[in-house]
Amino acid sequence: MVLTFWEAVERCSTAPRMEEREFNMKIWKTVTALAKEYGFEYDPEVVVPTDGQLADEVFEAGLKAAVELGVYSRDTQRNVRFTEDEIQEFLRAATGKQSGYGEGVDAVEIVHRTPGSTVEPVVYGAPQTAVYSTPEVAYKIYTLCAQEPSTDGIWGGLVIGPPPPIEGKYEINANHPSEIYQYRKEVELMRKAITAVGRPGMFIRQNAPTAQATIALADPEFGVRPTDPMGGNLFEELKIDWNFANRTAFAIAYHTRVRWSAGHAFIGGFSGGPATAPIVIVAGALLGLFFSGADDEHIKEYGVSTRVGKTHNRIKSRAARSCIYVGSLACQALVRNTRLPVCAQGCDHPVAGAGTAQFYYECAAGEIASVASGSSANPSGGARQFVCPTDHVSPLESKWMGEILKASAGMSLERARGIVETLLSRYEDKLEDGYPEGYTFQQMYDVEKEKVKPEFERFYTHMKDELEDLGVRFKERYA
Amino acid sequence: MSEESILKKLADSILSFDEEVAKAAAQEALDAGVDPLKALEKGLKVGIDVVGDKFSRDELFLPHLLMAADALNAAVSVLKKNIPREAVEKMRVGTIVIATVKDDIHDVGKNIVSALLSASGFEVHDLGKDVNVALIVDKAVAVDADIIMASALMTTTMRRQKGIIEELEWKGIRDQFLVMVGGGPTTQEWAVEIGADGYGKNAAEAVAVAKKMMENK
Repeated sequence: MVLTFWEAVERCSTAPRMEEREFNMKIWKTVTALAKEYGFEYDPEVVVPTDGQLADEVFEAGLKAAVELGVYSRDTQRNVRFTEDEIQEFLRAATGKQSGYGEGVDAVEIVHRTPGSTVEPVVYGAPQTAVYSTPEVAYKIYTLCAQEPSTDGIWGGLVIGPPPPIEGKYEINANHPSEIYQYRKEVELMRKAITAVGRPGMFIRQNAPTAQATIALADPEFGVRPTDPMGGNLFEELKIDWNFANRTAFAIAYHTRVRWSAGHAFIGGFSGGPATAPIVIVAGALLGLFFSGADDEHIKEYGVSTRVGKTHNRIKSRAARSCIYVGSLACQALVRNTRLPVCAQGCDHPVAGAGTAQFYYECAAGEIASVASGSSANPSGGARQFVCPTDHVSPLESKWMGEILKASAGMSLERARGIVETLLSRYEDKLEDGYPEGYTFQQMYDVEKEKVKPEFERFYTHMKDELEDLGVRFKERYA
Repeated sequence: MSEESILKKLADSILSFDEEVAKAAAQEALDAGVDPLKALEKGLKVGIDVVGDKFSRDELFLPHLLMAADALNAAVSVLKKNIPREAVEKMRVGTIVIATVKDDIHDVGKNIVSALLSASGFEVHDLGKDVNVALIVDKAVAVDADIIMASALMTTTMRRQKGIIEELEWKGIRDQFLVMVGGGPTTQEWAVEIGADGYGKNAAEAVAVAKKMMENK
């Protein structure tokens, strides 16, 4: 029997007390020692690692780190530990699939992939974390994204104005009545959009800052259904807090199908550098299983999956060289050594703005590396990390990422490495300064006709040609 | 040992990331008659600058910043015992209260700023994440802070930064503190809009702006 969410939560109240700083330094010391033990070193020349033995050793180190470190419960200030047997029990139970995304003919499932797998990944379309000026703009973007053949589900942003979205004068703040109301209105827009394009069973994904606002999204008719991903898991570097665990508790009660763990590393943070960060991600992916809300019965019926993520402490693009390396290696480590389908962040957040060559390069590099490394599902959003101004997104970028993701299925690590290297050479010097701000939806589209403007369509075609010249084979059915 | 060697040893002691090594180097400098202010400026701070540079080149990481700051503070505590009060005051760069605002639990960026500030000689009171406005202001009053720094990582929490300024104004103490803001969705324009005194787009810039503000204070 796998250890349940409730046992994990109970341990958060009974485990030994520890200061957060002590735990953070323990992460650093543990992974540094493990990297030394295994001889892990980062070579910036290797952007997509192709050494399977290295990936296996990273998994081994991640498992050791998981057992030695456990997780930190922020609300109870305790260090919660789990045994290797408990982790292995969960891994033995994993079925290699995660079903229950969406309903009817629009339903999809993700399956365990390995590097080079020809199985196409599931695509979360629409720009996650984007901010929109009006419900009309948000609705049009959701609609245009949802009708893309390469898109399997859509991810929500938030209408924040200007003008202020509630009655034209009230702003949205976290942990405030406006948060519950506006996030709920957002998923209503998303559901309306997928229905309008004839894909009413498509899954939608939305996540509010607080648990209460996320839970308030649940509504089989207008909001989030049990067949939409909904829940929470570990936050940042091996931390759990009630804000996230509360979401999982509700997900269990709401009978959601999709349950996941999450491993995340901050490159330059307590995870250390690229040589040690993959260990932290693997440890998080393993430990997060206990907070996924999946039990034996659930795993048997719907499966369980994991998500891996990485953020650079300074560079605001997930397609920085070290980010790509860390994400690729952690993904390979997990898919080669478990049956968990891995949902990886390729480059859901570039630093360049919509409609620019750098945007397309960054996203392509991140997604190609991720799919070649065995990722089973990727968010294809395309909102600039943290600093995406209002309406600085368009459906064309969601389409780009979807097409790239589907085209990357079957690509070998070696081929991905060559393509990613070339792409990096075209944007790497502009990741911290000099990156283009990009364009707004209104600049890129004839909003009235809901059609991309000819100059941006031509540029899109040009970018596809450029990627094809590098060896990416786009699939006609998604064009 | 020459003064030059002693100063180099002080700088190296920071890069040892070991408080005891730093304390021993500071004591050795005092025993050799090195001016404590010189030991700080030409010794310890040289080491700190190296740590900062290596951090910005991804050669060192957040744990190194914290350990370097601990080593610096340990060495300074030794130097302080042997110098007059006025000189101690000269060594003080400034006092900062820093926090991630209420309902925002993203704190890695704030932790980096906090560690860099400590490593730069600021006295830092880090209140953590998800901290309400009143607590931040009360702490600033209690420690007689020079600067209040507030981080926010979400568009739905950044307005809490404005709340700090409103709280200071309401209490009639706005002019006693400089206020700096930062975090993912914030910008220089946002800082100006809410009446903040400074903005840092990243950790290094936040420290540079804080130093500049203290020089002009």
